[in-house]
This record gives sequence, structure tokens and C-alpha cells, in this order.
Amino acid sequence: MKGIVLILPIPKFHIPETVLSRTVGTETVLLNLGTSTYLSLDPVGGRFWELIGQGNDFQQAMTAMLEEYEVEPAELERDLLELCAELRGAGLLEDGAASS
Amino acid sequence: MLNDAAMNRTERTLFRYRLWGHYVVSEIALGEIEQAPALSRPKRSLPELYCKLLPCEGSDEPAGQLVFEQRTDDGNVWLALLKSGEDYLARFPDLCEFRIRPREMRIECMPVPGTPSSTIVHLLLDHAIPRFLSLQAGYLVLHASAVLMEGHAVAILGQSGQGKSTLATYLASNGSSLLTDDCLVLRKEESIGKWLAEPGYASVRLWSDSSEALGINGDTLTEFAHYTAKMRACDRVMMQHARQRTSLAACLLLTPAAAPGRVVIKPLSTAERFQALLQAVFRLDPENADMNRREFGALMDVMASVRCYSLSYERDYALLPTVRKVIMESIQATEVR
Repeated sequence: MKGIVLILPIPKFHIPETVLSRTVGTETVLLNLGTSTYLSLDPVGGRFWELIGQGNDFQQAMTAMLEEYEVEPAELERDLLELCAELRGAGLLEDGAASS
Repeated sequence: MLNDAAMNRTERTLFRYRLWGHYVVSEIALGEIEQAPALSRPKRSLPELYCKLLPCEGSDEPAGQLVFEQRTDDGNVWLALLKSGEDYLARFPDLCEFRIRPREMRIECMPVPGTPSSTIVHLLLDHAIPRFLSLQAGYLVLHASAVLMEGHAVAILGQSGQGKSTLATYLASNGSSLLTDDCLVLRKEESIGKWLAEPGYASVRLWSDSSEALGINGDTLTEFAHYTAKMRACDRVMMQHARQRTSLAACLLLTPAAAPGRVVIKPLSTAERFQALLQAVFRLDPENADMNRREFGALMDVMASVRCYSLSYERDYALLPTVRKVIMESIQATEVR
């Protein structure tokens, strides 16, 4: 039996030092001071942001969220990857591990 | 024997004002703005800001590192902000320069010879002092009008020309009081955990069609800056002025009319609220990370405690009574929150 195994790299990113965030009500507001770009996240996005801010990588954050939300892994992964792409595009996340 | 310079200093008249929660002692008379009683200080101890008049230095040398520049539509520099040590220089080319010294609580005003006094006063009141205040810890300074309605401070935000001053004047002439026309100074009162709006000065800047429609006596209008046809109105008979700092209850963002003849008010989303407030902030040093962090925290604090609405209506003065009614209803809804 033949098959193809895709080995995808685990997304690695960090929050730039110029990005500030605060939760107001149920939404989380993010602001990049360097570019004045901002975004507001719904509670699910806000939870992901919180987990990333605590030092979790993508996989760890996803594992934690799968325990907290009733959602299929594939669906959550797709949504979080989309969110990451949006955050990266807005300069609110940067690729690579944080420099210590 | 005193030399001439010392004599001039000794004989210089000082003008005293209460503005935005500060006791402003100025060597420049600030137009028609009411002075604080000459011999009595306010009961509450207020921070004191000294505005000093100095001759224009006229030097072409850089006065510091450029941190911000604002240009007119035709590309000319309108305002350049430079930083030198802890001090800032706000330069309005060919008009006036202000050296802002936060540690000394002092603004030095250096007008270019020939600049009309009304313009100097406007630049000092509406640009230099707000930017000075933005440096103070615990303050948030917004480009906004504000009125006192039913015991609550209500801020009016929006792009230039959207009608902030017109609406504030109408409200202040119909049962409310004017807190400020163009610069809203908010100060965090830690003991009660609220943001308080500090009263500014009792005048507004209006285009002639607005002042006419609002029934302001043309004889009471004065020039507020030589480069614009807007006029300063401080008709104290018609317009009430709030003198007490008051907790901020609501922000209204003026937006283009949604439909002819209709007044539409609706709550703003978190992102819209943040955008409206962020765009309204007076900044002196946009690259100062500490200041930006402080400002972000203040904005979030205000967002969490204040209701924000978008308010749209046609530029039709006949709609203003309806606009007032709609705002009142929203404020009352805020009260029962």
C-alpha cells in the first residue's frame, strides 16, 4: 500500500514587542504601535491570543482550545490558521520564535 | 539697577486662567477667555502651567529630532514636532514656535513677527496646550467637543467639518452646558475609577452659516485665526459653560448622513469605538513607546466605561432638535445601564 505522508511544519510565531492588547467586554483589541494597525478579536480569537501570549505555540494553543470548545480539530485548525494569516498580515504576529 | 530685559520681565502682566484642570499663568492674554480671579487661587490644588512669551529665535538649526510632521493638502508643512531631551518644539512654519517643557510645566511661545495675536492664541490654546497635557500621566487628550447633559459629560467626535462645534453649541444653547469645543481633556480619578472631563474654555469656533443658523449675534464673533474664515463665538448669554469636571458617560461619533431627513444613532462595535478614539487622540510624540502604552491603556479604560454611538444626520439645522432628543434618550439609556 502506497501513500503520501505530508509533514507540515508547526507554525512558529511570536507577538512583536510593539503590539499591545487588552480585552474589553468580550472582545480583545490588538494594536501595533509601530504601524498603528489594530484588530479586534471575538472571544474565540481572544482566547487563542491569550494562549499565544502565555508562551504556547500553535499546537499547544490548539490542544488547549480543543478541550475548551466543542469543535472538530480540522475546523479549529483551519480557523486558527486563517486567523494567524490575518494577524501576520496586520503585523500583529511575526514568524519565528521570539528572540530571548 | 535692573537691565532692560529684567525690567521687562518685572513689568510683564500675567494673565490667569483655569483651563482643563490646570491653573494657567500666561504672559499672553488669551483673547476673550474669562480670567480666573486675580488674587484667589482655586480651592483645589491644581497643577500650574506657565506660558511664557519669548522673541522668535529665527534659527535655521535643527532644534531636535523630528518626531511628527503634519502637512497641508498642498504639501506644505503645517506642524512639525521636534524632540530635544525631555523638551519638545512645536513649529508652525512662518507663524509661531512653542517650546514645551513638561518637567518645568512650561510652554515658551515664540511668535514670528507679524503673526496676528488671535492666531498665536489659537495655536497656543488649541495645539500647544493640548499637546502639553497629553504628556501628563493620568490624562487622555482627545480632539473632540463635549457638553454636559443631564449631569453627564458627552463627547462629540468626528472628522473636521462634520459639525462637532455646531452640535455642541446647539446643545449648550438648549439646556446643556459646553465643556469644551475642540480639545477634550480626560483625567483618571483613581479614587472612583472614572475618567472625568475637565472643562476647557467658554468659546466655540464656527463657520458663518452655523453661527447664523444658531442665532449667534454677529457682533459677538471675533477672529480666531487669520488664515480661516471660521470665527470664535463666546456668547455667554446664549451658551452655558460647564465649570465642573464631570464623569464621561458617552461618546458620539459624527458620521456622514445615512439617509435624508433621518437622525440615526447606533452603538459602535469595539473595533469602531477603538478606531474613533484612537483617531481623536492628541499626540506630541507618536514614537514614544512608554507614552503609547500609557495611551493604549487609557483608551481601553475609557472604552470599557463609556458608551459609544455613531450619530448621523444631514447637515440641516432644522434637524438639530431631533438630534438633541435622540441623544437625550441614549443618555437616559446609559443611566439605567
